[in-house]
Amino acid sequence: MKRLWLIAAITLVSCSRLPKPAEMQQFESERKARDGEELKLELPELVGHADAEYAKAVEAHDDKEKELLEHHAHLAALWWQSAQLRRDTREATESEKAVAKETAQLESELTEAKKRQKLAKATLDRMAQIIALEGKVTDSQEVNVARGAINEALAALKEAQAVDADTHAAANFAAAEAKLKAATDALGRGKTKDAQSFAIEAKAAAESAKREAEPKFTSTEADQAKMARAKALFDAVGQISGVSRSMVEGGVQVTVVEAFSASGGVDIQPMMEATFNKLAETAKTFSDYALVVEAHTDSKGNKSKNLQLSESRAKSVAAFLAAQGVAPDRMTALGKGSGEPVADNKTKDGRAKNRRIEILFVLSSK
Amino acid sequence: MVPTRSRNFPLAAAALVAMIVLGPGRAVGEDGGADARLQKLSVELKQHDVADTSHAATAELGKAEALKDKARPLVGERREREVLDRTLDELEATLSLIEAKIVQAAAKAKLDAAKAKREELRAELAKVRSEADALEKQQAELEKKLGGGK
Repeated sequence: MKRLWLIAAITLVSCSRLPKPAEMQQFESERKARDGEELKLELPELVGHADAEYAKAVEAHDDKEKELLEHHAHLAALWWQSAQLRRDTREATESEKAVAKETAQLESELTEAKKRQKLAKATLDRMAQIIALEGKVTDSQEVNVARGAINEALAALKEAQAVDADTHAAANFAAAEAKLKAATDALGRGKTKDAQSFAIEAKAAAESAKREAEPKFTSTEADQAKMARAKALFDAVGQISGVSRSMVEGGVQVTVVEAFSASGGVDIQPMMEATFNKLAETAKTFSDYALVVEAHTDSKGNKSKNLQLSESRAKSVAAFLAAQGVAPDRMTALGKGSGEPVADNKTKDGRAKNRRIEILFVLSSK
Repeated sequence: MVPTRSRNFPLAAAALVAMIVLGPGRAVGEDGGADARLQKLSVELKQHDVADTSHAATAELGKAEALKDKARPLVGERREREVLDRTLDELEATLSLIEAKIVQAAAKAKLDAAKAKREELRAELAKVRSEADALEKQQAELEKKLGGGK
């Protein structure tokens, strides 16, 4: 009988399962959720580590190895937490980009609002001079004619200032303001003819200032927009590893060195494909830019062969970008051979720097 | 058949001789690997320690230090090989977590700064707009007044 009890007790003990550690339970519930699957797609390496440790924990659980179970469950939780934090980081970076975009928009709206404020204030100041005359001058036909001329000059000044004539045509604009003041002063002294004459001169000077300022104002606005766009492209390229970048006249230049698999090869080496994929993404985002793809070689070997090789490499890069969805008609592929070195061809490092692809993003005129 | 002490004797003797000749617990190839791994992880730990200027992973850095200290004397102890491997695995996972925490804290700080700048601009824009609106309203009123005199 005693023996039976003993067997029963041993069977019970061997059948009872180890409790799963809290970390393991939490991992299980989070990993099974849809979010967990998405995280696996997003960060396969980290989640892969977590899964592998979890599998070992399950094995230890089945084998009732408590210490091992706790160890692997803890490791699974650590890798899982890393993956979650990495995802949070990506989200924060994305949000930061969106906030930066909003901020740029706000900055442009603020510039506009400040301009409105400045214009309204200046116009009000000029109006105040005229209003101050009310009550000092008695209405008459001549006075009304002078007033009318002053109002026209005032409107012309307002229009001139709206195109930043006070900055782009400072002399003419200052003359217009001085004449307007002279006109109001003259009206205040009852010299209506002088007032009218000064007002006409003020209007003419304001219109002249406007004419002078307009082209500069338009080109400044366009230049600012171009600059802002180029800066956004420059920042976007800065997020891509394996490239160097510089702002150049007309756009942004991106340089990739040692992009090809073998000496004399024209295929992009596998480890550089991610870089070119990201460049293609950027090119698609900045679809208003044309791309000039230039390939350069070092000076080793025959010049004409180097030229041919560089042409093939430029075409290979363009074809790669096209395969990623960049419209081929936006791209021009040029082989430059060894004729435009950026470093000393006598040294190994220098030659490596010279073997490069330069992609020039130029704002398209299309 | 139950094995007897005499049957096991040659094996045990061979093991003893091997231990005397080779020294206790030194398996050069394997421990060389663990040593190199520990070195690599220690360097990584030092780098994270320096990088954690925002103290995002202070607790984990402490844990990683303790794991490193635990692993160091185990290198070369054949009998502790399994414990050493486990310790290094945990150190590696902890370092991954530390790095993730540091990077996440930096990204969050950058995001917070960007949000603060945006809010500042929003407030300034609202103020300038309302001032401009008021001035333009005043201007329109005066324009009516001046226009009436024509």
